[in-house]
Amino acid sequence: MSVIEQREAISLTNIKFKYPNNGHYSLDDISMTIKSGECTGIIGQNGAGKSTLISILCGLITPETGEVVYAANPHETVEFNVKDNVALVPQEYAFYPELTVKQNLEFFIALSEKNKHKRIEIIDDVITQCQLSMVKNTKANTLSGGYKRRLNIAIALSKQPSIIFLDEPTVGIDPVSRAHIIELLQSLKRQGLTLIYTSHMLSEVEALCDDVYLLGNGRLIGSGGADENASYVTVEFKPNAPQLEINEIFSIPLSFENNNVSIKITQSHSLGLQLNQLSQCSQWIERLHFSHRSLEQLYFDVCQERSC
Amino acid sequence: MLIQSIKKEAILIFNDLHSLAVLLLLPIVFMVIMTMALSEKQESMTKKITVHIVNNENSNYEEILAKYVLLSGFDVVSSKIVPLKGSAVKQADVTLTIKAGFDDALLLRQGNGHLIINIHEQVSPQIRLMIEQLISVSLSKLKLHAYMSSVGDFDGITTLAEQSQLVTQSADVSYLLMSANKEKAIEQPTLFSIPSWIVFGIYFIVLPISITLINERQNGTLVRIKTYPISTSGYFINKAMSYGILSVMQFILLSIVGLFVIPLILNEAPLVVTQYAWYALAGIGVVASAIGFAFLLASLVNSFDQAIVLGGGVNIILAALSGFMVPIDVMPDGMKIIATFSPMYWSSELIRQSLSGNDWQLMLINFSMLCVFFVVCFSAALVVFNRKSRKLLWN
Repeated sequence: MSVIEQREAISLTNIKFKYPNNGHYSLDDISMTIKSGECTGIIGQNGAGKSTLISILCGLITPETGEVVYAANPHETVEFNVKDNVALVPQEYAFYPELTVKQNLEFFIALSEKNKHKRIEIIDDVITQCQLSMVKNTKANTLSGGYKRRLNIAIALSKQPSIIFLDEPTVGIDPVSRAHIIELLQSLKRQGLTLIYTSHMLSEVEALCDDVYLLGNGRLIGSGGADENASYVTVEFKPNAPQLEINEIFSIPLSFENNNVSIKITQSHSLGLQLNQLSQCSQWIERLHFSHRSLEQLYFDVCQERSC
Repeated sequence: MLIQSIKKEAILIFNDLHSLAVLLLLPIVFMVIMTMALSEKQESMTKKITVHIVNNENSNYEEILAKYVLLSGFDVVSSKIVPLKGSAVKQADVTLTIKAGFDDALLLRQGNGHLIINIHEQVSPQIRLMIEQLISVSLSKLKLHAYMSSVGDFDGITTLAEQSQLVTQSADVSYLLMSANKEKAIEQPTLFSIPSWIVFGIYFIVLPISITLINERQNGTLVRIKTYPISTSGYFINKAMSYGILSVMQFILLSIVGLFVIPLILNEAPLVVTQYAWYALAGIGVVASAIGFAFLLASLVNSFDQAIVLGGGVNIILAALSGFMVPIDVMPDGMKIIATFSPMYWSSELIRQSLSGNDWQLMLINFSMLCVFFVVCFSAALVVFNRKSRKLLWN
């Protein structure tokens, strides 16, 4: 059993999984940590292994090797933890279209909560939180795409989980509704819920996720904080700039391309340090150029590099 | 949870017009049609059949033959009774052609084909048989008429109406026969049609069950439900109980319509439940077997097309094999044996027996068969459903 840190919600170690009659591993030696109270993005092309990974995290399938440990009940099975603590927001509208918003919530909450008064309380809270009051007595199949997405999330919230898996929760809706949902998810994050988010909308992942894992061909090909990968400063040094000395100032070997060095601006707290380091070698700097490399650009670069 | 589940399934059914049609409208329509068809009396059937007598050989018996054919209930078109109208010959259902030598052959026990009977090709085999039998009876009366005439029994009786009345009285054998079941409900046509179509409607619960199971599998609802603190088997059993309760309500509604409303509309005697306990038990047996069977089929199918073909098709075949469409009495021996292995047959027999108050031992056998059928089907359904659920993935 892995030792799990206090801030971790889920820990995956060396997960391998192969579907029957499939020659290669759909997931090959995946290890990752999902931090509690944060939003973790899992991105990758179609067939990269995202769905398989989430199926394992949800206990729908069991990995061949490796282990999944939930911090809440580390000695219990994945299935137990999922039933106890996790809610899903599938990409499809996973509810009953002929039922009203309230009837859908009443049905799903009855699967997890026995106390009738508590059920009523939770439904009222969730309806308010997801801004569904106006449509609570409307049949789900007559709702707009945005409201359907909110209902999909509301059903998950009615289970009162501490971890929510979301699969493209904004697909197929207009920008205003999308903004509402992102806002809702950010408020959930603020409340301390752990979100695991898969999406092809990388701008959303960037806006919402604290950590991002990039999968390709069943392998983990990149990871990091979403903001870590975002900003760069390109430094053009003078021709006579002493590379050894500059390396010493930065305390890491910089890769010079002619006289240019691209320095990744990592987290906000280290920005001051990086600026300080830059100021120490200001006499050799010809020009500075700040750039922002979006997650999307990074995604393309990594995919190209790894031929995934 | 069960209450919420029943509420949900009821809303789903009431929002699906197709399900409502197969669960309520279809069996009620069949009950009406089949009861009407079975309650059709011989007199009203023969009244619609036109018999044309062709007498090109100037037989002396044409008018008398026409009289007895008329007394058999047929609508007779004969040149002697009613002048022939334009296309009457072509429109006749039956043509009787008197050939040369008919008069001489009538009282002799020899001769062949002196009266040719030609029945229109559109007449069904059952009605054809009835026509041939009634024409034979008419011919027998004609022969008796000729005999009584030759021995002088009609001396002093001049009119054909009086003579035919005497012949009919002489040929009457009804005083020798008595029906043993005359006072029992078994003679009611509704007893044969109503239970069958109640059962037919109940078994069609397979369609809404299939639709909801397929929808839940396809739109991620089942994956979502798997993350709730309820086992897959628990959820499946809860769903079966919900549909079971809805089916019981369907059984009660169809029983009210079938036992009281339809006989009232069709001017038939209402079916009387003589043993309420047995009728209630029959309802439970029928619903349980239908639910078990429906859940098995619904677990096996993967698409709506399969649900309609397998669910609907199997039910219709079972209904046909169980004697719902063609009475078992007229089936070949092999099919009769097959029918006795059908759960729809056990179901309809159980209801019929609980209405006619017959044999409680037979009722117990049919009830037991239905219970065993339910256990086998539902267990298999649970295995299939769990196996398929285990293969469910995210997306």
